[in-house]
Amino acid sequence: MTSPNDDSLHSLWQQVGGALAPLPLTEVKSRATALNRAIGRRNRREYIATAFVTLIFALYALILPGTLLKIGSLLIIAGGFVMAWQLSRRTSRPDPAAEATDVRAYYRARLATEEHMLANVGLWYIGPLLPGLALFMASLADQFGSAPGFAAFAAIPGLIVLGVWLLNRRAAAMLREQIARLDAAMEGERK
Amino acid sequence: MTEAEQDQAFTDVIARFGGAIARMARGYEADPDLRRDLEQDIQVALWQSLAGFDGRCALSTWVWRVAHNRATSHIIAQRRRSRGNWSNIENIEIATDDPTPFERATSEQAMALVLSIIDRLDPPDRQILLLYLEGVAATEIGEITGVSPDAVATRIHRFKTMLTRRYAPSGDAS
Repeated sequence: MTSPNDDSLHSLWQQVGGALAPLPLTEVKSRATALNRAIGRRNRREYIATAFVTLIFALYALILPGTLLKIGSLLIIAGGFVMAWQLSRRTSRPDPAAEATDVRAYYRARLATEEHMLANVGLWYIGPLLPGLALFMASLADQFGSAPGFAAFAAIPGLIVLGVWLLNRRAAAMLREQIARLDAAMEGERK
Repeated sequence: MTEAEQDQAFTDVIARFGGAIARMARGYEADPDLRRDLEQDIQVALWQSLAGFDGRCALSTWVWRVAHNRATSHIIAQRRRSRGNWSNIENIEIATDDPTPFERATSEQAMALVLSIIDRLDPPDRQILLLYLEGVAATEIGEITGVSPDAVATRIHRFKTMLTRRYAPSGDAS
């Protein structure tokens, strides 16, 4: 049994393809401008969550008694702003110059950027919220009659934070495997 | 490059590569609506990138790089939602349960098999095979993808072997 020849595969591929619907130039230009706005929309959910956190904890800072609770609330707000700023800074944007590089280098760079973002999620996403959250929770300890009761209360946000961190670390590890596979293939070609 | 020159270059590129870009998009996105979005994104990326085209590589090389890179970004974003797994071509095994020789398969059967293999490949191997199917020469595929021509030839050979085995009569897979 012989392998299919090049001509038969090329003609198979080319006979089935549909035509491209060309975008008018004005539409292309308008979309090029709108692209960055679309990226902003992608992060909107996170920004809305940050605004919600800010509102709630600003209210807490005003009405809750005790200095530690007020400081904790303000630290959480500050942490939320740092997290939103980091998200905006780290979000990859289409880069016309980078897109003209060879596709394997581009793919590897995309994977590496994403891996770095996920692997460091504890630092830039969770970390900024932790000091305020810890202080706020510690300030509430007096409200609980028993240590186990407080531990159960504190475990809820603790488990959520741990879950977010573990999921992102797992995703980062999978990306590292892909990068290693790409690097191994490149290394193999050099030999 | 002035904007008028950029516009003209874009118009020429779409006239010359439009059909090929539509075929390429089939190798990245099965859903027709998402594929239309991808095709439009690629057109926007091409127009943007042509402002920086300086002729240091062939126009076709430039166009393929931009189109494949934008399509790669598209499937990376889609994968976050679908959690699909990709593999390189060496790690894909196709069951040999269909006795129809490739040459006698209908176009639809053959195309379905080609797409089913491509759909499982990670971007670097996917790009090589899509460029091969489009009839791009191995040396240019190497330039576009950053892979040596020998490695390109190896992957194409593997791809053809997979097609043959899938469609070989039982015991005739060599």
